[in-house]
Amino acid sequence: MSEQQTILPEVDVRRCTACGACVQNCPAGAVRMVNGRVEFVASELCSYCGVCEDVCPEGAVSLYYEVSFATA
Amino acid sequence: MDELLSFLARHPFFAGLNAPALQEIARAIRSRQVTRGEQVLLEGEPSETAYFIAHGQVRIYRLSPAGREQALADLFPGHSFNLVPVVDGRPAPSSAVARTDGTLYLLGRADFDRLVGRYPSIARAVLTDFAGRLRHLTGLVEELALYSVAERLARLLLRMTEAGAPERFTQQEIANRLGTVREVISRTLRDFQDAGLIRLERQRIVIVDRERLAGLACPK
Repeated sequence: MSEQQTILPEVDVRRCTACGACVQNCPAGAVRMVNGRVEFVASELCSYCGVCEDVCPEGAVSLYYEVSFATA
Repeated sequence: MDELLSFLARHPFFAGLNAPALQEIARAIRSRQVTRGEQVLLEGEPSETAYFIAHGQVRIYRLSPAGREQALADLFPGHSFNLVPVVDGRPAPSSAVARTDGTLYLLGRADFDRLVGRYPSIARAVLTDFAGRLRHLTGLVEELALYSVAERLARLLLRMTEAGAPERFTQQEIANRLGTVREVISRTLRDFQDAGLIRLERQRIVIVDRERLAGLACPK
């Protein structure tokens, strides 16, 4: 599996209340509720668009970034 | 104990002290394990403990009454924090949260006072450290007061590439450092991309036009 396919938003389980807002709003269907917990179950579908982070009322979802220079 | 002694021998506060002195300091230190997201310290609480980061990362911040966060510093192994209450005996001026799992070394105020009395070089080293923190905070005040969000973001993106090993940040953490909200950071990043300054990739912000970004970071 390539590095790109394994990179997913991270869910802080201490903040997550399993409200389902991220599941309902994910445009790609990449996040689902599994046994009462939010899980990104389809890494190949996640486009890292950030909607899940936008809609989470608890700030439990985080998309991490690194900063680098473009290579020639 | 060996790891602690090695840490102390390398630390600017204690470097140059002989082995018996380092052992005396080590006996006064307690160790604390922290997990990612764990609250280490709360602004305003009584505190008479200086913290030294052995492993992991810690963020220092303050909160507004409405809960908005302003990050003051991101600290790494070798850094210390909460020295101000140890020096002046007043409550903690800032909060601290573990950004990663880690190990902290703790030194109480009574022990700190005793050790400074026995080894005055520690006081001189702490003064030098405070001078560095003042410079950092002065720079932060200048940025928050005199630069726009776009200019501050451009400066931060360039600093992130100059720091050496890449660090990961969320847009919320960037907003907390720059004194704004995540939606503004998101919008500004898109503006930067539209202007050809950066490219937003999965988990990466790639600086495409360094020269123009630097020009934005330092407006004439």
